[in-house]
Amino acid sequence: MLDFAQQPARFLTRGVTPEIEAAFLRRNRAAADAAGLRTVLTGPLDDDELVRTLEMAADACIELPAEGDVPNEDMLSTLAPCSLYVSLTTASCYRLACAHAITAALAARAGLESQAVETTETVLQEAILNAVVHGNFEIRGIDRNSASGWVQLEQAIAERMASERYGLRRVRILASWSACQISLRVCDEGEGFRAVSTGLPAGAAGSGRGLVIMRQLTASLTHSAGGRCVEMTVRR
Amino acid sequence: MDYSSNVDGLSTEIAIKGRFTFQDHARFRALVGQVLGQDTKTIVIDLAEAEFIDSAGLGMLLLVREEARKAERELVLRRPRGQVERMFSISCFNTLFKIEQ
Repeated sequence: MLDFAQQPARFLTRGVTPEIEAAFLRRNRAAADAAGLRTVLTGPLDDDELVRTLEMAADACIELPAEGDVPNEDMLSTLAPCSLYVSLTTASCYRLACAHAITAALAARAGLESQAVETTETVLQEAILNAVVHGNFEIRGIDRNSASGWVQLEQAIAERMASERYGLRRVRILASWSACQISLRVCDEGEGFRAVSTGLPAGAAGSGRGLVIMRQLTASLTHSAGGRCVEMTVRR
Repeated sequence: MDYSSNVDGLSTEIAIKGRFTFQDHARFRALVGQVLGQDTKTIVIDLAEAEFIDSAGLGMLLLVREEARKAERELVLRRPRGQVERMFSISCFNTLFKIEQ
């Protein structure tokens, strides 16, 4: 597999057309170069390709569309050493086991113990789920306490996945590590929200547990950008 | 998620394997519909080989609980391990389900 170990380039591409690559570099090269990053640009992903891409020891992995507009990746310029940045379409985040693949890459790079791996994957999964469903897909207010509520949810997701407006929005994940903690930031492109609840949902309610789980398992949790980003730290 | 189901006398057992997450809800809902259509008194969900569950997976178990209650079936969750057991603990599932080790 072509890797940064064999190639001194700053950018490697996989399954991206020359036009899309050129458009991306016009827009983002200065930010990536300023931070001295090794970046992988990849075409639409499946689970295996996501894992292979994350194994390439890049600082940033960015999924690009087959055609159309390329994303503006401002966060690239803020990356510090010992970081991994992943930018994916909402459709890929929904279809793929992203939290699992990203946590596996983090575990390999940061040398995490099994408990930290489990906690990181759990809170990352919840944050990505919130970013996809409530953030980018803007699905709210569906009662998931009944089978009909779940059917309604499945229909809403299918509609959003087929829509350019919702499906091509991005989820951005920034993970960094030090000797004592893992820091995670997950951002969506939805309308934002205001977190108010701090306890478990009443009794056997079918939804509302994700944020409670994240609070329970993290050393800190904050929201920013009007609720579009969540920042968490996990102790190692 | 992979699963297998087995009818044994008055009990239907579903064994869940691997990751049980939001991506599985359509398949799991169909499986539950199938199980509730069978003429058994007890539904056992065996989680010994379930490696990971998220809040949506927990929500789906709560949905089974509600559907089983309406159909007057007993529901048992069996052998949660590792991360799954930890998620049950955070969510106080011991107060909502019969859990067997």
